[in-house]
Parts: sequence; C-alpha cells; structure tokens
Amino acid sequence: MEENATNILGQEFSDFLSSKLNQQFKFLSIHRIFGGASRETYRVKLQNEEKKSQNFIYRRTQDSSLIETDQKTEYVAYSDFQDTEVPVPKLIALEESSDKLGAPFLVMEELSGVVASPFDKEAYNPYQAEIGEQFWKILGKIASRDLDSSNLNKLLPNKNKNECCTKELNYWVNVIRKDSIGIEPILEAAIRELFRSKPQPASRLSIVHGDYRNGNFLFEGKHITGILDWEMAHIGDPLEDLGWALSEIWCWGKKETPAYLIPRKEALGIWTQESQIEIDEDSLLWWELFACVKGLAIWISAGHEFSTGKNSDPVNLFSAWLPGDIHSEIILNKLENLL
Amino acid sequence: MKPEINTALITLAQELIQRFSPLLQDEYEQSRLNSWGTLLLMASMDLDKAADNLIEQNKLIKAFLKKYSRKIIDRDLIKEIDLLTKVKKPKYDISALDELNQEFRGALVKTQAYFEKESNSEALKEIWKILRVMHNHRKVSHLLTLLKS
Repeated sequence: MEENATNILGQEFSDFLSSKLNQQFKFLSIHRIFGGASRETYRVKLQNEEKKSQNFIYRRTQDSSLIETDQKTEYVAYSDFQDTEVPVPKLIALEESSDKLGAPFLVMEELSGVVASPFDKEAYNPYQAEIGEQFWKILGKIASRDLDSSNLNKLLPNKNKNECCTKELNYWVNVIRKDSIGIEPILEAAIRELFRSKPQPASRLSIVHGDYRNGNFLFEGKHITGILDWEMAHIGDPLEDLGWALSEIWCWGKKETPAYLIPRKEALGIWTQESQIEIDEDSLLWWELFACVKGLAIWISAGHEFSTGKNSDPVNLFSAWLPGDIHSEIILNKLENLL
Repeated sequence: MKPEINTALITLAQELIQRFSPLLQDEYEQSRLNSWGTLLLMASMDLDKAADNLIEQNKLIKAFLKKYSRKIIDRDLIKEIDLLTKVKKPKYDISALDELNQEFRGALVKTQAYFEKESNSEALKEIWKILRVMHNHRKVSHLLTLLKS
C-alpha cells in the first residue's frame, strides 16, 4: 500500500476508534509490520485526549491470506487469556464486517517487547534458560485452561477426544489437495504414514494455539511479554501444540534445543508439570510428523498464493521455498529411519 | 565471455540489500526489499543446475520403475509405468523436463504406496534413496544463515 493510502487508513482507523471508545484520538502515525502472511498488521500511534500517545495493533484481514481464518476465532482465543498468567495483548475491538474500514479487523493494545526470527539461533542468547522455562510453562497453562469457561470452546462446536487427529489431518490434507502445484512424494509418504498409524485419543480436550513457536512471542530481556498470532486457535489435542513447538524446523541450526531455548527433555518436564497431562510418546511422535504435514500445507498454500498472483508478498515465496524445504527434510529423516 | 546470468542476479541481489534497502525509510518496505534480495540469491543458486537436476531425477525414477515394474501385479500401474518409461527423446527446456518430472513423481508416489502395502523393504529403501537425491537437488535450508530477520 502506498504511503498516502496507508496514512488515509491510519486516519480512518483513528476515527473508528474515537467513535468506538467515545473519546477523541488524534492520528500520529501508522507503520505496517513485516512478516506473517495471514493478516496485514499495523502499529498505529494515536494521541488521546490527555495528549498522551498510545500504540495500537491493528490486524486486518487480507484479500488473500495464507490460511483462511476467521478474525472472530482469533479475537475469542485472545479473550480466553485476558488478565491471566498467559500474557496476551489487551483486546480493544473486533469488527467483523468490511463496511467500516474495507476489511474485517481486530484492535489490541501494543505490548512491550520484540519478536525474534524463528530461524535465528542466537535470538534468545543469553537468556535461553529463563525464556525456555516460561515458554514451555505458558504452553502448559494453555493446555490446561478450563474449557467450561472458555469462549473459544463455546464458539467452536463438535469436539471429540477421539477425532482430534483425524479432523486436523483431513483439514490440512484438503488444503494440500486444493493448493498444491506439484507432486511431492516425500509429503505424500508422510500423509500415508499418518493415516496408517493413528495416535491415542487425546487425553483431554484443550485450547490449541495452532502456531505456538519461537517467533510468535514477544520478549524483553529474560521475560516473555506476550503470546501472539492466535489465528489458528481451536479446540483439540494438547499434544498438537507440543508437536508443533518441538518441530526441528524451529531449531534447525541447533536441534538439541527446541525453539532455540532448552533441551527437549527439560522442556517436556516443565510442560508436563504445568499442564498435569501425561505424554504418550508414540502419540507425540505422530503429532510431530503431523506438524511437518501441516507446515507443508501452509507453505504450499503460500506458494499457491504467490504463483496465482493473488499475493506477491515475498513472505509467500520465501515460505514455499525455505520452510517447505526444511519440513520435507524432517519428514525424509523421520521416515527413512522407520525402515 | 559474456557475464553469466547467475553472476548478474547475485550482483543485483547484493545491490538491492546493501545499496538500495538502506535508502528506504519505511521499515516494512525495507524488510520486503531485503527479502526479495535474499530470494533472488536463492534463485540464482538454483538456476545453473535446474535442468541437470531434473534430468538426473527423471533418469533415477525411470531406472527404478523399469527395474521394479516386474514386481508389481497391479495392471493399471504397470500400464502407466510402461507408457512413461517409453518416452525416448525428452525435450531439454526446463518446463518440459519439469512436466515429465511431475509425471515420474506421480508414478513414484503410486509405486511407493504399492510397495508399502506389499512391505517390500528393498524397493522402499531404493525409493528413499531417490527421494534423498531429489531433496538434495533443491535443498536451500543451508542458506538459513542468510535469513536472520
């Protein structure tokens, strides 16, 4: 979007928020945040009636997005963790129609902290131990969140402990069938293996973040200040998030420390203690292989968006090339070893 | 000798990242341009070997299918393999090689699924060797060091 158009968007956003919160904001600046292809995310600086500047995060649905997800799901997932020990930004507004600003969006307060690249093995140095403990503990808290009072649980019907794996696998295989622009024998072998060897039914139903990993949280020094990017949140098997977060893709340069934080055994110990969920090792291995297939579905979808000209953001081409390559290699290593 | 396309692309990528990107004020636009520079670098590395890689992949799969088709009793699959392995004179432009490669990949997927059902570990091991070679042809994961942000 050109600078003028972006500024107009910022001004319109300011008007919207003034009306929504019944106070007069003055628009100061707007900047798009790079990365993440599922939403256009902007940092908007406004001045409130007390002449103090306030930063807001404005997440807007794209015409074309990597994964088709509902803004409401993301908003409701965030709402389940407001004022809890799982740090998330404070929600301000959800607008589901395109009438106000041309596309659905949600608004949150900006949290302090920075996001690291998931491919930077030194990102958390020298605080890997401290951040690692929080990272796996928070995931344990998400997994053990009571569903009776969960808004997400109310929003998403038809959950069943026995069908979590099949439901997720079918969903992502459908994405692959819809968006694939080439035949990938390694991926096909993984899909067959997953259908052949199902995991145990989920030990409980949990909130699943859907993209819990390094690169999707804010941190400041040795503290995690916010868990972000809940657009793929759903109700399912808590091992799904664990398998995704442990995936070697997120620690490719130092595989012994998942998420470039702490060793796997330590991570699982913290998670188990916090969640009080016992891990079935074979099931976890299934979910780790599933993470590769889900990942490839996302990267294939990105490649499709790029190839068809729907979205020329380089993030899409990058996703199709590099993470796609890594997930294929992880599958290759896993399945070769099964022979 | 004329400058090679690869050299030109690498230089262009470097210019984008080192010369033009720092001139941009907007953080988003700067990151976007850096990404394009990095992708251009990756593309230039793939370009030189692209045709050769596809030829090798097609040869490997063809040899495997010919060798193992006699161990298959699925008539439709045998017919498909026969048709595919009879292609005598492939064209050498990348799009034609890629099209043929897709057909070979399709046949390989079916054959692998077949041998999985038959528990033919010898055939399956050979397939994984081929898949390893194919993967190595387009491997870019070693370039992660370029992508810290």
